[in-house]
Amino acid sequence: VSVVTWSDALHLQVQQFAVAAVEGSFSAAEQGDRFNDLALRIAQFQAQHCAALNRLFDAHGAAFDAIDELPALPADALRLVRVACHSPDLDRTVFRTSGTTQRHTGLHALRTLETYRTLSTLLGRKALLGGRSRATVVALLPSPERIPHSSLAAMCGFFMEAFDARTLPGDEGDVPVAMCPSRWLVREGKPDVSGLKLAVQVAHERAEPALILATSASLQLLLDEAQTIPLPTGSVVMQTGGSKGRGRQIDPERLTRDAAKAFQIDESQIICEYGMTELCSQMYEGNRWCAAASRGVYFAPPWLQVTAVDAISLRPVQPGEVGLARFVDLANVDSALVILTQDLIRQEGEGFRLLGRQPSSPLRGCSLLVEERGNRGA
Amino acid sequence: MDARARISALLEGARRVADATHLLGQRLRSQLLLSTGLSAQGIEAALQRCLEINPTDAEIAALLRNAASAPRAHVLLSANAFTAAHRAIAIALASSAHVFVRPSRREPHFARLLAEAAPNLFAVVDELKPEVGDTLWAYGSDVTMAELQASTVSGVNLKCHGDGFGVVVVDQVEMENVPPQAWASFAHGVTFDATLFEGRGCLGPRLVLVRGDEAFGRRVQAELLSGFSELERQIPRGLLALEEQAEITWYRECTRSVGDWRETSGGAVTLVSNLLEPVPPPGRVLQVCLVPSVDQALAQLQPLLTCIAHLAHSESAQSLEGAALRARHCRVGEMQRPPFDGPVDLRPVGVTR
Repeated sequence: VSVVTWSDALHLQVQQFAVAAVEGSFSAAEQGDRFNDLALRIAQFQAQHCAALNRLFDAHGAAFDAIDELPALPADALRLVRVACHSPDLDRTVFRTSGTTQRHTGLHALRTLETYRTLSTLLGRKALLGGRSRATVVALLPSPERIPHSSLAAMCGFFMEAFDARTLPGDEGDVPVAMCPSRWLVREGKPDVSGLKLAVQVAHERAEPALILATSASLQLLLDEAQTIPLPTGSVVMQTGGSKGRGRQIDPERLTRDAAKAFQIDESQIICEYGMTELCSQMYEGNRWCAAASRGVYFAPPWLQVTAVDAISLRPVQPGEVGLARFVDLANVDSALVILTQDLIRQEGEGFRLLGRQPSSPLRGCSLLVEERGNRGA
Repeated sequence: MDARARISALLEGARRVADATHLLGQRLRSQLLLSTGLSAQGIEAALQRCLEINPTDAEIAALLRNAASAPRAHVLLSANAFTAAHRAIAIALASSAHVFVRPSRREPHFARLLAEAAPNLFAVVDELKPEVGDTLWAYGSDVTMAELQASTVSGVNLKCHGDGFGVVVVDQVEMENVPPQAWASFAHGVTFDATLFEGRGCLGPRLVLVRGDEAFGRRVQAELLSGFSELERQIPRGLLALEEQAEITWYRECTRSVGDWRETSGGAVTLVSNLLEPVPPPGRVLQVCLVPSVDQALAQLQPLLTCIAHLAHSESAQSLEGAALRARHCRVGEMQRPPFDGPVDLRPVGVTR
């Protein structure tokens, strides 16, 4: 079986699993079994076709009989080596983590965007739109031409196409929705306040919610410039990414409070997203899918397993203890199924709370070895 | 008391704390066991091999010559290599009769006992208050240095020594011509340099740059692993902080996808096919890098490079002299004991706030 045929089959199975899980087609036990089975098959595929993972699995003597035993690839490894099952000529897209130079940039190469598109919109519709079919979608981000390797921009484009798919005033009819300048409202580093007001006005006229996709930094810049922009009923602001020690520090609670006030919406309508270039799946805070959600607690979708592991033994920590976030992401078919990050988390009920970053030795933070978490290139 | 007399008095004090039969030396050893986590043998090795108590007249002359006079000198110490306090204080005493030292909170004992051993020479303080015209010598991480630069009052002559590490250079052609026992000597020297202070200091080696093929790189890796095992019997590992242990785990898993990680009870050596970031963390971990060009690798590392070690009298050593002028050059096994002629770190440090 060729790598493409095998990969295509796995992508299809992951998409089918995700759709069925969102539709509630599985019992909890059945969902768990199917997840495990699919994860182990993806791991075997990756061990066979990805040289970097083959080395990692070999070093651990991986047996592929339990997902907890699969070795996790540290997120930093994507800065050191290509982690992909296919050859570079088959790359559909290469997402890049942020870094001050090319040398420090991590790469996540995808052969197809379909699983990323399908799964992110499935989850986004649930978490951000509460199952509604339509919203007027804009992003407080530079246009994709400016950030072509941003996985966040790609996801925002998926949302524009899936949840909106109509033109805004001034758009040219033959330009794909996700490429229209009216959707991308950061220009030369500044938020386009008038563009945002225009999009919000369209949402009011359509009598539908607005969905504003923003990074914490761009949202803060907008709040610095704009006074009040009342959003239609049911609107949502998706906020992602912290300031990560660069430039201005942002207090997330204050940002949420100020944004809710500026947009005249409830704070529960400011929904934080947690994602990274290294993963094709996302997590949302306090989303509507999980009624018991509380602020600061993130939930993973059925196709993503998140475990807190001990930073030294890499074994799962006891419930309630803090550990590094270890992800098993079925959407990462062609790269690394199991990713280890230095984000500290604590399980809380069905979800987990983000608690910052594992402290590292000085040399990891120095100028030669710029160490930044992949912030999805935005 | 002139500057030379102040240095002499400090050296007298250092001899007392280095002396295992002296009361101060005994107190120091028991306190360092708790503050550094080093094994007793590790502390003794550092005191005997890294604490410079008998410098030559030429070295002292150079130390004095390189010190610009200051009305008052202040020293902010790091905890990584406890003996480094001695040189740091000597540099300050060479420039001023009024020296104020703020020890690391993690390891305050060496500076305090040195002050006891050399009374009235310098003051150990909890907070430094440099004034316009004073010199402040600071040692620590780049993050600490950046914070210090931002917070120090304008007009203070700030001398910052931030993060850094040493490298070893080894050449296949040269090693083919050395007698067999030279391999053991090489491995012992490199691993000894990496073992002192559990590799936390800025002089110890983290990288071994190899000019040669993969088979030669594997030989270097195997010899170093053997060296670590041998050395562990003489200098048992100390305790590493949880963060340090976590760093080793993270580094190990990163390198397993790109190279060959091997470990023994004495230490770990990874073999990679080029210069690889991140550099290994402290804790007796070395990275053997097969590099196409040693000079290019050194140039790339220069911002962090403090010391380059090589086999004595080797051709590669001579050719490297011009490649990294701002790093010290020495033989393997001598990386942690540079001449007592000024700061160990030759990189640019001066910042006037």
